[in-house]
Amino acid sequence: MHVLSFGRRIFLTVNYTVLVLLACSCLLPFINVLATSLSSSPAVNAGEVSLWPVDFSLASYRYIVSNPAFVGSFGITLERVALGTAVNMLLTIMLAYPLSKDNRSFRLRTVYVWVFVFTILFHGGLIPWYMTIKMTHLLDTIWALILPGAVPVFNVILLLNFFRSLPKELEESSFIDGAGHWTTMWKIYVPISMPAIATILLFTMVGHWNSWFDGLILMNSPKHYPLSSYLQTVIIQMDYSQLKQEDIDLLAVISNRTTKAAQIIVGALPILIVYPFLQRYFVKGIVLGSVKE
Amino acid sequence: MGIKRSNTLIACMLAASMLLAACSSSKAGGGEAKPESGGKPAEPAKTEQNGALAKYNPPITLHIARSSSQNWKYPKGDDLNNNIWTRAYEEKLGIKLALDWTAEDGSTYDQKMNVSIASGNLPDLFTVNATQLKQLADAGQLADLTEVYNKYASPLTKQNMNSDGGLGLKSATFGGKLLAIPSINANIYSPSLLWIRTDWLKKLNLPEPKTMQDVYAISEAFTNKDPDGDGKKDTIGLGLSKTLLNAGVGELNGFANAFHAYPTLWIKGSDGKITYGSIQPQMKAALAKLQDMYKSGQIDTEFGVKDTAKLGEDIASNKLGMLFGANWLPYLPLIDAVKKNPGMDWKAYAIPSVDNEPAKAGVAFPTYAYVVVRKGYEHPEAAVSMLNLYQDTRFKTPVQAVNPFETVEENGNRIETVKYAVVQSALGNDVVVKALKLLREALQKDDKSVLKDALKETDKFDPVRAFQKNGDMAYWSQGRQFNAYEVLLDNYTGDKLLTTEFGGRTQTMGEKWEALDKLEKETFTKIIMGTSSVDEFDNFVATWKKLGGDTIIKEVNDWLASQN
Repeated sequence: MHVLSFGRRIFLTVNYTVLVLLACSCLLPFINVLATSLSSSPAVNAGEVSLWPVDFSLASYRYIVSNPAFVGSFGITLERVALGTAVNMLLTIMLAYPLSKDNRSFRLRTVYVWVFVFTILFHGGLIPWYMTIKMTHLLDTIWALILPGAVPVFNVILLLNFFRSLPKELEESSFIDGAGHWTTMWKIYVPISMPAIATILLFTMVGHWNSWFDGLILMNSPKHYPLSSYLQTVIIQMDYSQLKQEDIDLLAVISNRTTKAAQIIVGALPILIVYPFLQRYFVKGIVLGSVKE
Repeated sequence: MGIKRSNTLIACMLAASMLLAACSSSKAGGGEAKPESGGKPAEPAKTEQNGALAKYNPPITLHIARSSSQNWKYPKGDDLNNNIWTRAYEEKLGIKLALDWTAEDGSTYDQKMNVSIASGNLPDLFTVNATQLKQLADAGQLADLTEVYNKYASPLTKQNMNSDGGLGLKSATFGGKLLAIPSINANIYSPSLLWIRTDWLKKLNLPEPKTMQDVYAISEAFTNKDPDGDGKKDTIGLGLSKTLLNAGVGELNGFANAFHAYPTLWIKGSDGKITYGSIQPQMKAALAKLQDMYKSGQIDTEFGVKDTAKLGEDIASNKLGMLFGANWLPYLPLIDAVKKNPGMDWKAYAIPSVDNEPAKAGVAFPTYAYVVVRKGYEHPEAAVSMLNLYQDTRFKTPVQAVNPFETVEENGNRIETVKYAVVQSALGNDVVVKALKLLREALQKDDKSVLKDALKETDKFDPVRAFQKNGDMAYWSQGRQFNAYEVLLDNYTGDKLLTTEFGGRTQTMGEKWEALDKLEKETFTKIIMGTSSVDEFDNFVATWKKLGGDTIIKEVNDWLASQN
């Protein structure tokens, strides 16, 4: 253990303090929501709950489990994430591989890349987007949430650049052994690109999980909302200026903060659990040592 | 990732797309519209004449779009597509509903409706807001309901639809044509009242407030005289919500009304033209006083981040004893605090005035939605029939105490069924004031039969009586809300209730209103907190006008002129 200089020690102290504070500012609100969801409603409304549940109660979790709208939306989100991620990943890999080749082996490569980049820079707008989906009869189906975003160009470029950074010798050696492009892609490129693929997988899954706007616009009935759209409609702040006298009975439901908190927790938990499983792929240097120059 | 990005883009482009919406949709609508068959809409289809309720034979199918809510409950086996109202439409009127789409009530529904309008994808009958109504009316996409309304609306319907002084119907009329059925309600319910914790008043020996001077004294005493008796100076005088205006709970409106200022309303200026209430000099005076109160610690230094829930926490933890708010405050957030703190009690008072002229209550437009029929639809009169059915089932005297079309009890839970109705319009002030008067009379005489002519609030008699006679705390909310009703009856009928002159949204409002609204709220908050001087208000007025306010005022005046 070598001795740290004074300046270095100051730096480390400040650095860790700032990082810990930053981590706390992310973590504490989440803990507060968790504590709220596990507390009794009167305690929450009296402002007694901060980081630890008061009057421990599982009532709000019991309520959401018995709430068909929540359970239904949860199922749709699972379906969306499974289907959407599969489609996204397949298309991303199959698009990134050819586009990562140089101009000599794939002559129109640059043109193709620009066609895809163009779609990042320019967008048709809400109405044309909606009408396209309507006229292809995707409206109100699960595919409306998957197909319009099936090619995430940003991810394609990430993976494309990762593929390009791989040594060309790997490809050559596999060709010498008699493999074609197909085998080279699946057997060589994909396995050694796990760090990049894991990152993109995470982007895609979180993106599908969190996306709410398309669900609201493209689904014709709340029964078909994915979870984020459902939560958006339930949790969004009530506009009291629009309140009708007839709505007063709803106030008790709407002001129920424990139920809202429980739904946020249940909605966030599955995606949180995914992180540790993907973490082991976030290790660089897997390519190191595969080629000697 | 890709999806998320495109959503941001989409949101940004919404404004731009909306600009093009009117012209693109008029094309699409014109293309789809079937030629109108000589103005005589499908009379042969009607065979049975049942008073004003006519039945289609064979039944017709009506495509609708409507709002709904995740918070709604249904009796067992029912849902949005199959419930007591849809069955009644089919059995009594011969109208089969086909729900094209639905979305959460509020901004979600509005957003989806905007997309639907812009893409020319209109159902036969649907609900819109004032902005969308104007847009559709200008694009000529709506059926003219003048004739069918005059012909088929029942006398009860006509009576109730005019019970708001005809404001709603007038706002749905463009160039002499009735293009929508307004969903009216009574804005006698809307005034912002002064809610005070009465057990603190008694404890500190303070009189009930008659003037604003009394209010200042109460605020001062609640701040400095330790009303909660814990020996700590931890209380505040006046509760304010971060939303400030039209917040329902802890709003600025009532306080401003005391100064004869009417923020966020369109009011008649001294020159007879309509102008905006928030930019009048009276508003400056109200803000100056609030700044004083803030400086002396009578307003929470953190009010800029307090929402309804946080104000509720302050009330429940004995920090707050006075705020302005709507008549329903006992339900939210007061009841939770009262349950938690035995002995706590609240009462509503009329808004006092800063001078000798009694304060008026400024209230929003009494129409909250419009039901419209697509141009070219064969049966525009279906809308009127459905409205007749609604009025007939709900408001035919004597109003039934237990009406399955209003609420049903199931396993001890109260389920509101009235929300499922597709064409709705509640009662205007005239009818509601009458009902409230009858409720008061019935309670005074302790005779429920007085209520036989009341169209509304009949369900309040038993709970309020239980609270008044036996002090039953289970009905504290109803009891205290009834006190608020009495304040409303005694103070805000007739011209004491100042209704905004304009409930729509003009074109420039669509582009600029969000920014102007933000400017208004930020300036008010800064002035109250003392980070801007009171004279900043004059700069705000100038900036507000320059950033589009002047154009909007002109548009509002033109719009109203076009409806006369």
